[in-house]
Amino acid sequence: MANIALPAPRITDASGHYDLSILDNPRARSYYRRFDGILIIVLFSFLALGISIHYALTAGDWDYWIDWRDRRWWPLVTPLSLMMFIGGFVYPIWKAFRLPVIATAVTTLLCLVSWVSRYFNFGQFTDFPLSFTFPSTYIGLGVIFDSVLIMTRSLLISAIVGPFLFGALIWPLNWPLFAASKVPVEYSGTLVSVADLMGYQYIRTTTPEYLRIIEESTLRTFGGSVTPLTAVFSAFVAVIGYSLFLLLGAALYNFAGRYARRII
Amino acid sequence: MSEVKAAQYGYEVPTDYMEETAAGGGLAGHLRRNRLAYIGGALLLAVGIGIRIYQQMMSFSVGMDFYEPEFQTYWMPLLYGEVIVLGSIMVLGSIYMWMTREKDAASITPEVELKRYFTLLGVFTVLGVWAALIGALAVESDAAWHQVAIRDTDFTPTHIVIFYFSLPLLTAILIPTFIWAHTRIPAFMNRISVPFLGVVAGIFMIMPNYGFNEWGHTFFYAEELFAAPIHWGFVVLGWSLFFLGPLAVQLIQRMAQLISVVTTGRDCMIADR
Amino acid sequence: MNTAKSRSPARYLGNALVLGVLVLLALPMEAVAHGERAQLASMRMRTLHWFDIEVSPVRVNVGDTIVITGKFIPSEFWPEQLPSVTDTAFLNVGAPGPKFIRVHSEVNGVPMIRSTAFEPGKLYEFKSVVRARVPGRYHIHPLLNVKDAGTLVGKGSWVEVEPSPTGEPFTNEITTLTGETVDLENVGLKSVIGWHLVWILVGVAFLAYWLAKPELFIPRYMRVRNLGPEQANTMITRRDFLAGGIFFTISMVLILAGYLWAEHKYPVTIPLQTGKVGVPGRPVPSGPLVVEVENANYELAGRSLTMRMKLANEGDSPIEIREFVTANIRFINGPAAAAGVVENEELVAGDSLHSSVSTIAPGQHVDVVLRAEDSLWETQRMTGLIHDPDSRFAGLLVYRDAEGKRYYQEVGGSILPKFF
Repeated sequence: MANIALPAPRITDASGHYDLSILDNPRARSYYRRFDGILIIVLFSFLALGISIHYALTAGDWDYWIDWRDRRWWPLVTPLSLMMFIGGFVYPIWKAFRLPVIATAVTTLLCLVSWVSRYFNFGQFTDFPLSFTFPSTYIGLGVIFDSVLIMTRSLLISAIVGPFLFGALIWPLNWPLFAASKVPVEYSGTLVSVADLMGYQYIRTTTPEYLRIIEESTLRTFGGSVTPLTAVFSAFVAVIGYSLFLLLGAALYNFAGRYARRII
Repeated sequence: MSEVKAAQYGYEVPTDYMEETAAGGGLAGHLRRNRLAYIGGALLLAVGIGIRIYQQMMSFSVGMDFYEPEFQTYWMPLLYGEVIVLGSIMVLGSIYMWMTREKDAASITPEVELKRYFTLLGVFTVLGVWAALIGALAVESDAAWHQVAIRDTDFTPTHIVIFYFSLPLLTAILIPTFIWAHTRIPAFMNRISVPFLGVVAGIFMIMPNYGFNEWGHTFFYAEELFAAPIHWGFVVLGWSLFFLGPLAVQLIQRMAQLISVVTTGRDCMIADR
Repeated sequence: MNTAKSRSPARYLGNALVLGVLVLLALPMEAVAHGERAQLASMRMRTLHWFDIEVSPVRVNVGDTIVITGKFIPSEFWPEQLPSVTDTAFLNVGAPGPKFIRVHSEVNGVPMIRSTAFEPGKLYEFKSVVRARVPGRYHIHPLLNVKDAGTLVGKGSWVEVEPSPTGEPFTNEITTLTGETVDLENVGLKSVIGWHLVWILVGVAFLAYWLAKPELFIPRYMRVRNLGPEQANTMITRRDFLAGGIFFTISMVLILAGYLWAEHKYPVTIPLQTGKVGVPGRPVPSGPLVVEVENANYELAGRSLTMRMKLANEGDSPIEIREFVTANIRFINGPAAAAGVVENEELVAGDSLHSSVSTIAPGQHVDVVLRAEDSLWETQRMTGLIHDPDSRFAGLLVYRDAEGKRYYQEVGGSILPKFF
């Protein structure tokens, strides 16, 4: 039996190369498939937990209620939050496997857990109608992001183009979901949108109207172009947020991806 | 069988190696090989669904006021039970794993080592089932609760489910698993996997963060904005999962070699000159 | 064989689950009160004085309306360290989720769809109209959300909501300014679900393309390592590039199509509406009584608050002390029935207010010892008063003249505990 040397302390320090003929060995392949299946389940389920916690606590409120999804804050906060989490995972998965799937995986998993959660937690548990609490969709942005990484094959270029599109396209992607709730209504002599009215009618004891962080009137809207302006700024913010977390992911992979002699 | 392979690959293939072979083929073999994941996963699924049904039925009915006698009847015993069960699993499990540690790494054959890697992955799969349940059912239930109910004490029903059970359960199983891996798997023995520690520590940090959260809510933050800075500490859990990438690579580096040795008798790693 | 099957563990587990659910179903399902008792006693006494709260009717069917009326006075003893009600506040309803929808709310006649602000020492009369949505028995309160100070709860009442006699599901139809009638229970939901399904399909197809590759984690890792950082990008094949391009294009086209579809279907939309409205406060009808609080004690053993005060009646009619209201509790001088108690009213303590002088004659200056004594101090956890870092109290003194006209004003000050 061959004597196997222990792996190098750092995963990036591993020296030598592989005899790839093992990849054609059917028994080895059955092991690989088994490992693939397990890792997909483990990785995806923890991604689902990670994104649901990360997203809930950095942008959750904007996604819970339709009367929070405005055109100035929601499209800014949401891409930043998502891009941060995605950024932390892209580097290791790209570096080790050249698999450009993280953004799509995260956005799709978030969509699925959000639907389960809105139905059971906001619907069955606290009785809100789904028309008021349905999740937004980000899958299109995830697919675009990953496709950019595939086509550029560059972490650097995709770090600029991918998050830029992610931030810029979030509003048009979700507009078909939101438009119905932005139709004007007159209520008690006040102009409100359908979404505002739902926020008023469906009683949220500890979520008062003023708690919403949404667009308020400013003196200047530069010709009323709030949405495109937000899209560009959001794109910028997404690039910064993503890049920082890409670097964090790289640091964890290159420096923390190791065995230590002792804890301290 | 081995002769065929020997002819095909030009080397002797050990036949007694595989857990795969021992378990048999087809669906039955698959189930037998992954019995830890299936049984453990099913068990946690049942526990998770059960406690979620309990939360659904008992939160708004008898869980809105800590000072009502009903709360003391239906919620506090659950809390005490959770703390006792999880505390015992963590403490006794850790002690057991340490006391029964492997003393001699050299005595572990590659077959046994590979099997232990799959056992470790089996535990991760079980925890993955639990993680997905928390992500889908627990996290936002706390948001849904707080945004309609008045915060009274640290023992609101959703907290009793999430902060005293769901999240600590991950820690209660991960810490003994961490000790198990570091005392049973040669690549981890006598040294510490930093990414593994990162995942465990990040998930454990939820508890101290929870302390800060309650302290802050009684002291300076009275609103129920979920994305408020006071809650950002919990994001550490999400971020600690960034260590999963490096951890997966650590597992893969060793398993690639083990699989080669176990299936062909040769290490697939060729040292550079 | 059959017997063996029926004794399988799965069967037992199933039976146990069914039994468990049945036991849960059989448990008493009566909702308990909100968690207001956990709030500091001094905070409950010194923020808002709620009174005259009436919830009616208290038994309705789904779809019927309930009116919540009452008054509140923001305290002039508002704790310095607590963000003030003069900044931003919102009149709300305390209910366990949207078991009701709010169809109207107003303070002093001003609609309260938006947030507002209030002045301490002024009187505000409010009204909220809610429509029952989900059957059940609920404890509902009026309440005020004060920015950064949190929820300040008024007195609650139990209401019972029965299912609609016709069995019709709850609907909430409104007409928009564009002339369409929509049901807010499911407005736009069909297209939301439709678009979500489209995108889930795209996302799953993308993931399937990559995860269904014959070689995944371990083989790809080995190949990437062997190729080295310079060559590793060749792992992304021409086919992958093409697939990436197709997914990119499909996504872009779908986004554009969805946007144009929505613009076409909903040509008239507005941004979310927010902002504050002003609401004038009314003067508190304090009448001719001048009150000066000298000191106050809380007796732990006697569960009583004793206030010593100088009262001066500057009017021409005798004044009779009727009530002391604090933290939503009414301490009444005399029997409760005589004090206008409404149906289902809680936190009323009859014969609990003892005054050394009950009636103050016109022109009389008198020292009065007023004692509010009831076990409600204990059950409402007001005894926490002595553990507060800021031991002050406040409450509403209610009195009336010979014609029965009611007056009230706020009293408050320091409080000293008596432990024995």
